Formats: sequence, C-alpha cells, structure tokens
Amino acid sequence: MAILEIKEVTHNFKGLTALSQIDIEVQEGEILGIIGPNGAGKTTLFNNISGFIKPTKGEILFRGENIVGLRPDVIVRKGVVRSFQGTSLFPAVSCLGNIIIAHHLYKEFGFWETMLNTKSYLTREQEVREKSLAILETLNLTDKKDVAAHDIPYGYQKMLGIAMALATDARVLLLDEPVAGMTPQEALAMTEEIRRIRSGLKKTIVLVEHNMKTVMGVCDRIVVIHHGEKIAEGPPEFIKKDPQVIEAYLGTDET
Amino acid sequence: MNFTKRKPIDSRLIFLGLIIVLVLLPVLFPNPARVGMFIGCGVASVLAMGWLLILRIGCLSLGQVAFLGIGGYTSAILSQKLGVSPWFGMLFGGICAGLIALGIGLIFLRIRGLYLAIITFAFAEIVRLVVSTLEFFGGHGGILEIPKFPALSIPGLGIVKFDSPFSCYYILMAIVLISGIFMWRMDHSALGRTFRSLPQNEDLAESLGIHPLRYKVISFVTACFFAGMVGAFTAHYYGCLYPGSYSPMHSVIVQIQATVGGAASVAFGGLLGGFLMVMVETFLLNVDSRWVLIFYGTVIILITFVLPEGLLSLPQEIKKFRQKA
Amino acid sequence: MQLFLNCLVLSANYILLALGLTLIFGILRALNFAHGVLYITGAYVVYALAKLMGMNYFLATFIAMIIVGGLGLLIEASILYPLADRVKVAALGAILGVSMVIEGVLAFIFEGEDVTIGSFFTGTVSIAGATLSMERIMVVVLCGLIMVGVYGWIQKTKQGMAIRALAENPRVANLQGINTRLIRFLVMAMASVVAAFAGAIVTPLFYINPFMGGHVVFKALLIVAVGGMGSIEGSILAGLLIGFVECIGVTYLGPIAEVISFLMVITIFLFRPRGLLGVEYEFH
Repeated sequence: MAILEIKEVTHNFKGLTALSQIDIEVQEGEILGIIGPNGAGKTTLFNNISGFIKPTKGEILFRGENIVGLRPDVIVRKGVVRSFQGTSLFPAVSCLGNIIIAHHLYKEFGFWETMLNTKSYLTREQEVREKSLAILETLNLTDKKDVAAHDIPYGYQKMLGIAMALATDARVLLLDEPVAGMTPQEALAMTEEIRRIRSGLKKTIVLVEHNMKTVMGVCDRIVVIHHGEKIAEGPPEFIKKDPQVIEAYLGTDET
Repeated sequence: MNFTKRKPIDSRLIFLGLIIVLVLLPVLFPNPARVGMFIGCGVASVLAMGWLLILRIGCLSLGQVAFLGIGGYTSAILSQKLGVSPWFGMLFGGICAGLIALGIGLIFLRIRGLYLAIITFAFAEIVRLVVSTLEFFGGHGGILEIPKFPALSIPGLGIVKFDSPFSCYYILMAIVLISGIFMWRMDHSALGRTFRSLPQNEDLAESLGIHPLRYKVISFVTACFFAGMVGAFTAHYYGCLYPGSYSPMHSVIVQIQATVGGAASVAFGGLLGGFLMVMVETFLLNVDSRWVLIFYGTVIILITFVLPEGLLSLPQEIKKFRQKA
Repeated sequence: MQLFLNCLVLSANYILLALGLTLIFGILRALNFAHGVLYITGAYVVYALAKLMGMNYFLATFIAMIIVGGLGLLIEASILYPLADRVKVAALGAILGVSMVIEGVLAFIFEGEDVTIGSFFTGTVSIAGATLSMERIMVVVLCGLIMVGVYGWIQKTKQGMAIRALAENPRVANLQGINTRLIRFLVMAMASVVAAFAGAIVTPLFYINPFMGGHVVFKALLIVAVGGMGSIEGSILAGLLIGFVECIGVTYLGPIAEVISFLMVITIFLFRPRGLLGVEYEFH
C-alpha cells in the first residue's frame, strides 16, 4: 500500500479549477518530484494534502486513513509535514528558538505541567534543547544559535526550514521548492541532504521544484502537472522525453 | 529572541524585591488618599499585564475594560441579589469573565490582524451598551450600594476588618501578585514561546503541530479572567459601578499604560506601566483634571517615537546609543 | 418619510467621514483614528467663530475647513509619514495619542455643556406628508454633492488617477514620477477638509461635545471595514446600510440599537472579511 494516496482530488476555487482529478500514489521511502509550469497547481496540491485547504472532491489517504478535513496540526501529528515556499521560519526568533519551537510535537506537554514547572516538563525542555543544539551543529549554525533567523544567509535559512520540518518526526515530508534561490553549490548540498533524509532517516519525500537539474538528479519518480491536471508520470529519463511535458514547458525550461 | 534558560536568580530576586516594596507601600505612605491611588495602580497593572499577554499572540485588545466590567457586574449582582459573599464574588467575577472570553475567543480569535482588534472594540461597546440600557444591570446609573468586603477571622491576627483602603490594598496586592506570577510564568514557559510564534508565521506554526486557536484562547482567557477578578474587586471596594467607567477611552488608556511599561516582559511591563501612569494621572487629577487626556496622548506619541518598546527597553536603548556614539 | 430623511442625514454624515478614512487608508495605508477629532475640531471652530464671535456661518465653515485641513497636514507630516513603515500597533498608538491630545485641548477650551449653533437655514418643506427643515435637506444635498465630487474627481482627473496609481502600487507609482509625498498631502488635506465640512454642517443640527470624535470615527471605521477598505463605492454602500440600520434601530429601540450595527459588523468580519466590495488586503 502506498504511504500517501491522492485519489481523484479536485479543487475548485472562485470559479477556477485549480486541480482536476489528480491521482498520485506515493510509495514509502521514495523521493517523488512534482513539476509543472508556474500556476499549474502544485502548491495548491500541497495545501490540500497538508490540510490548509480542502479538496472539492476526492480523498487523500495517509497510510490508509483519509486525512481530508483534518486540521493541519492534526495532519502533522499523523505524520505528514510540509515546508513553505521561500523561507519557512519565524523571522524574529533565534535559530535555536526556531528549532525548539519546531519540536512542539516532541513529548507534548500539558497546560498544568508547563505552568507548574514540573520535573517532567523540565526534563522535556532540556531534552528538546539538547536535540536542537545537536541539529544546529550538523547545520554548522552553532555560532549563530542566538541570531535572529532572518539575519542568517538565505541558504542557511532554507536548511533551517528543512531541519524544522524534520523535527516534527513526520514520515512524509512535502518540500515546496527546497532549492529555490540557491547557488549551485547550495543546491547540491541540499540534494545531498534530501538523499540523506531518505536513506538515513527513512523518510518519504515529495518535492515541488522548478530546478530541473535538481529534480532529475534526486527524484526516483516525477509527476508532471499542467493546468491542474496530471499529464505525465514516470522516472526522470522517461519524463525528459515525454512530448507533452516538453510542450508544456516550451520556453520555461530551467536547468 | 533568546530562549536560553534565564538565570532564575535574577528574576526571582526582582520579584522578591517587588513583593517587599508592594507590601510596604501603604506602610510608608499611609495617607488614605495615597493608598487609594496605589489601589488604582494595582488595578491598572493587572489590566496592562493582561493586555500585554494578549499582545503576545498578535492581538490588539481594544476592549480590555469590558472584562473588568463583566467581573464587576457579576460580583455586584451576585452579592446584592443572591447574597453571595464578595470573597466568592471575586472568584465568580473572574470565572464569568473567563467563560465569556472563552466563548467569544473560540469564535473570533480565528480572525486575524486589524479586524480582530475592531471586534474586541465592538464587543466591549456591546457590553457597555447592554449594561447601560437593561434595568437588570442598573442602567445608566449603574449599581449602587454594593456590599463591601466582610471581616474575616484570620488565625494569628484575629478579626480583620476590610473597611479601609489600607486593608483592601492587601486584597488587591494578593490579586496583583497571583496574576503577575501566573502571567509571568505563562509568558516565560513553552506556552509563551508558542504564543510568540503565532504572529510571526501562523501557518508555519500550524504546520509544525501547533493548534493556533488553542493557544490564542489560553492567552486571551487568562488575561480576561484576571481582569474580571480585579473588576469584581473594584465593585466591592468602591461600592458602586457605572457603565461610563468602562468606555472605549479607558481601554485605550490600558493600551497606553501597557505600551509605556514595555512589551518585553508581560508582568514587569504591566506593573511598571500601570503604577507609573496612574501615579502621574492622579497627580494631574489633583492639579486639573483636564490635563489627563492631553497627558496620555502626549505620552503615547513620545513613546512611539522615542522608546517604542516602552520603558523596560531603556537600558538596551541607552546601550545602543552609547555604542553608536 | 420623516424617518427616512433623518436616516439619510445620519448616513450622509457618516459617509463623508468614511470617505475620508477610506481614502487615507487606501492611499496612505494608515488608519487615521484622528479623523474623528478633525471632524469635531471643525465643528468647534465653526461654533467658536459663528456663535461666539458672530461670524457669518459660511465664512466660519470655510475657515474651519482651512484650519482643519492644516491640522490634517500637520498630522500627516509629523506622524503618519514618519511612521509609515512601522508596525501598525505603533502608528495606531501615536494616532490615538494625537486624538487624545486634541480632544484634551478642546475640552480645555470649551469645557462645560454640550453646545450647538442652532438652525441656520430657516424654513421647512413638506415632502410626501413629512415636514423637514431646510437645514436637513441642505445637509443631505451638500453631502451628496461632495460625495459625487470626490468620486468624480478620483475617477476622472489626472490627479485622481495618480492617486489611484499610488493606492495600487506605491513603489511603481514612485518610479513613474508621481510625487508620492505631494499626493499624500493632497489626499490628507482633502480628507481633512471633508471631515471639517461634515463637522461644520452638523453643528447647527446637533449638540456637540469634545468627546464625540472617538465615537464618530469608530463608526466611520466600521463603515470603511464593512464596505471594503479602500473602496469608495463600498464606503457609500456600507455607510447607507449602517446609517439606516442604526437610525431605524435607535428610533424604535433606543440607544441599545447600536448593538445591532456592531453585531452586523462582527458578522461581516466572520464571513466576508474583506468587506462588501473590498479587495483582499494583508495586514501586518
């Protein structure tokens, strides 16, 4: 059974059809790429899956359970997390603070435990802090841990965003344009990271991207969406040669 | 924003110092008018602290005094019509305010930004109009002859009467301290951290497992609960209630007092702002009451341009100033 | 019919203020709470000049418009423009501060009872069986003229187009060589003058006190929000709606009827936050 199934999802919005009969099966452990010209509906799809908007028709099954209609924070608890386009951060909060907040779901605490500063609360806070510091270390941000997130370089911000998504311990990561605005070296580092997340942490990754080099290089399979419809699906070599895809992208190829 | 564990010694020492000062105030300045002023300061502080707590979640509460009124009216009516003791009345005042805050919070705190601020204002006005029209709430004239605090038999002190500003001051200080410590704790805990994340990127918070409404409601209800409690206190202390004292102007004054204090710390900012502003206001009232409005207006304009983060940010600003020079 | 016309007067008054607010919001992206105070200042200046010093009513109105216009410009220059990039909370505080100061000054000078000038236009007219004072008819007519005037000016003239350009995209407008600063002054001046006018024509009809400003500007703000921030048509529509609802409500139910307008506003925010005719706008 596929870990994430998108079944005949349609989303109508103010008279426009943003998504139409989208059918996608995401296998556990794969890296799936979703590409398509701007405005094709890719972020809308993510919004639907992560619960920020509801599909007009269709179902979205995570491990067999329909998650349509659930709140975003509930969906994360179940195991699907998404990152946002641009930078996915709390800008005025320090880098360390950002990651600590991202650990919200780690050993969730109750109201009175928090207010009364109980032992279990303190232990949990300490654990979260240590985990967060460790994460900052792997990102090479230890010296910037107290710097406000919007003051660190863009590439680091994107990495931080991904780290935060990972902190939720979700099994499926939906990454919205993870390498957008990055230099080629940064993009390469990011793709390495994505591969590491998949094999080392055993996560499933779905990413939306415009950078063809990244997409072709890191994805196991690719789904192409155009005008809200799925027009092609398959491994990278296959997609590269698909005539419909080429037509849809005429003039907008980004390598 | 620094989430490193603040050395608790600092804050606790300050707290201790504050408690000592607050306890000694009426002893040092026993003049009943002065003590009356300190009571006003305390009331303003609790409201200001609540305002700042609500600001944490990104909401500008323009109707804080409505909950002051709700608490006051609840307790007044309970004690007048049902003979409930004012001691319990205060608790019920807070509970009633908290419940109403819960109700409207669940509905309205989903709305963002300016519209939410307008709604808090609209709600406050609705409350004011309702209590000033319906006879059940005493109409325009308000409620008079509200029972005062009955004497208590306290072991070790004998019968303690609460018929003077002096003794009532300590009741209020108990409320101020409890609410201050509670709100301080909330702000400095993981709850406060979560509160702060919401105005910065609510969607992101949601995608990380935070249920925004839950936290907004927690902040809002807490602030309004204490406002209600203090409102009930004022009802029994002054013995009367007038709808006119819960006007929009008063809500704006709460905002000004809180802003002057400083948003850096919910508890300290609220205390500082409340105490300082009421003291100046009282002084001006004695000189010429017409100055009060001009005073508050000028203060907020100055603060906005000179020290937008309030007086608490003074040390930081001076440091920055020195570094530039 | 009598009721209808009374309501019309109330609406017209609110609309004039709402127009100013919506313009200021649309172009200066600021919520000018001080607008109410400008309105009341206009009213008081007319009162002072006309009643206390015996000046001709029209002249008094004219002078009031100039004074208040100047006051508005002062506010724009010293408060709104410098704070334009700041967080909304900060600017809000400062503007409230300004209104409080001005209110305080007015209270200082004109302490005591509420005042009024008393009818200027004498005579009544009978329409459809209801008797109306010329006064009220003039108010409605003048308000209507101004509304049409402002609307037409914004839509048709070159300056109007510049204003609309600025409202849509400040940066691009700047690049196109449109003098942002000047436009802001223009808009603020116009809005203030209209506010003063609204205040001036109201003095003969009602009693005024220095604290009315807050109440009135809040109503105007509700209207602007309901009609859609930055939409002139919306303000007119919402102004009529709220004005009528309130007027009818107050006549039959008394002051508590204001609750109805508040409830209405709350409902609209819940279900259609951008207002009746507004465009989505992000607040910081």
